[in-house]
Amino acid sequence: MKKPKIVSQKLKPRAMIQVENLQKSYRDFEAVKGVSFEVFTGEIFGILGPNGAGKTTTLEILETILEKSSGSVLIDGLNLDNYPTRIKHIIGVQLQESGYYPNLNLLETLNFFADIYGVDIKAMELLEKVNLQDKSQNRVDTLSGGQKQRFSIATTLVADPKIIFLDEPTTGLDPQARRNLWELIKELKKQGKTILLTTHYMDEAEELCDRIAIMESGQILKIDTAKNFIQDLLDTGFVKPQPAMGASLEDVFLELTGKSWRD
Amino acid sequence: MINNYRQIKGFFVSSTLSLVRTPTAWIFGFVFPLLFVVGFGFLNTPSINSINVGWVEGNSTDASIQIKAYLNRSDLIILTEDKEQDLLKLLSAGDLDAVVKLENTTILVYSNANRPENVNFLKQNLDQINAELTLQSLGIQDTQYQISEQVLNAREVRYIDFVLPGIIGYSIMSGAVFGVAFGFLTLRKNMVLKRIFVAPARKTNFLLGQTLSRLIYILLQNLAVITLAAVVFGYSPRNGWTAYPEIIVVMSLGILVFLSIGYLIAGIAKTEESASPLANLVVFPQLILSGTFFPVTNLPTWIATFAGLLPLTYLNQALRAVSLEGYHLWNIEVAAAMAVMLGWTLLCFGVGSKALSVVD
Repeated sequence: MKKPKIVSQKLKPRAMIQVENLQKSYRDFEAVKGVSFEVFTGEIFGILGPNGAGKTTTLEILETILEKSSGSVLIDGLNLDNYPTRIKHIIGVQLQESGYYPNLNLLETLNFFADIYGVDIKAMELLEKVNLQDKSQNRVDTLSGGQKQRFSIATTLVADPKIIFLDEPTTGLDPQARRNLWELIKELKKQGKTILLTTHYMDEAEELCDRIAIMESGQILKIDTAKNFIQDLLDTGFVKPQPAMGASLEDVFLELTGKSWRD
Repeated sequence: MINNYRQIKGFFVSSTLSLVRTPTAWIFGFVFPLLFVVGFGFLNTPSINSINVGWVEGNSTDASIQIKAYLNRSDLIILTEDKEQDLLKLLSAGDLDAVVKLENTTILVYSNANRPENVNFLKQNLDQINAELTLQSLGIQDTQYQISEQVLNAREVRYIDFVLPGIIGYSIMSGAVFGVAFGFLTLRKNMVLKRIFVAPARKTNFLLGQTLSRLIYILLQNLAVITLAAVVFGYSPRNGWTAYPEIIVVMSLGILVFLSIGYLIAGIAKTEESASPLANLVVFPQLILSGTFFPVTNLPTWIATFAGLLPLTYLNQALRAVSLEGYHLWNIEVAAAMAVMLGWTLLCFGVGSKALSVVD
């Protein structure tokens, strides 16, 4: 049986997030200078840019933490200005930096978030999803960097959100932990989540993102897939000064130390 | 969409777990007042300032008037005139050292078993008066009085009974003010609040859960201190065990006053660095001026006026009235003190919760 609906969806994917002319200015400077983009249902959309480009500011406005100065934001069709609380219920947020109630263990912390969302959860299953089931009785501050990021993702999943925001999820992690987290993020995409992430790592954006917005000084320079970006560059006659070898030092490192979960 | 009950429960449970697992909170809240209790518990000074004597009214013979006048001559003896029944009640509560009653030719002395020194002093005085009266008996009385003594068991009022309400007041104040101000600012600095309020959490629910948790925590801490003072140093409220429910009500209101002041400080200070001097500014003048270790009446007038504004003054007043004096909550003095505390609570909580920003 044919399914023409799916074909038409592929041609015109539904936008889960629609941002138009978003602007945020503080007293002395303009952090976000009128950016527009759409994130389609089920895709991983990456905002790639150096520190200070305005990635986090953009994200935090969508996450309802920061007030925008102007522009419009629709999340799953809901206007950010009118329905911030309803939006909070359908998004999961991993902040760049976040803390949890001190002295609580992982299960207690997840159950706390379940109370805040007013949902019933199987906390242990959530921990299994991020491979932390053995740490359920540990306190959050005893986790390693990679474990903390994975736990943080578990907390974003508490209310089974449609959209997940990840703000520089792998910054500061070692190569194994980064790759583990990539696998986890791909797994979330498979489960149908729409993911908006920021990163300043090119390889991360290339590995994970369906589409990438390149951002600098509060502006989005260009939005496209990694493949198209590279093709466009090559089309201009660009040639890498030093041809890359078949493998990188990171490949060597991972080959020597293994790719398994290690934290 | 938001389940308020579950949010309050969530904040309550998390805050409580977090509190009971923090050792420093125990040290400040429990060990510190305990040191005071131990210090003052051993300092059980008998009151030598005055000898409180009850004088049974109703006998207005010349001799009786004269004996009374003689007793009044002494600077140390303070006479209270009343009905026998009422005076004996005061004696058994430990407020009087003795009650004197004139019956025909007998001077009956009911004496407080806990105050032998004071009673002896009174008896020496009575002997002297008796001798003097006998000498001038020519015109007035020709019979010598018999002095007979009846020793009664009375509640022992120790220094700890006076000072414990003050210690509890101080402990409630410092525990609540410092706990809530620093607790809140630490949660904010460590991005705990940011993470929580990215989820659909309500500030009111956060404040309610957090306040309830600290209220119970501080209450239990101080009840533990009181229990220890009772078991080891013999502290007892005037009305015995029946006073405890009323003491708990007064303590709870006291905790709420100082929690709300803590929120106000957190709202004004914004950072832990600036909260510290502010909290100390609130706590220390009250420690000194609110009658924690000595009565407020000994202060110069203008300082006393200032002290009359401080919430700890009223907490101490209400606690002493209920514990030491045996008044009930509906007593005008207690009720007035509680009304002032309630006023402070509403004011500080109102302004404080507005000033608090959960995300910076």
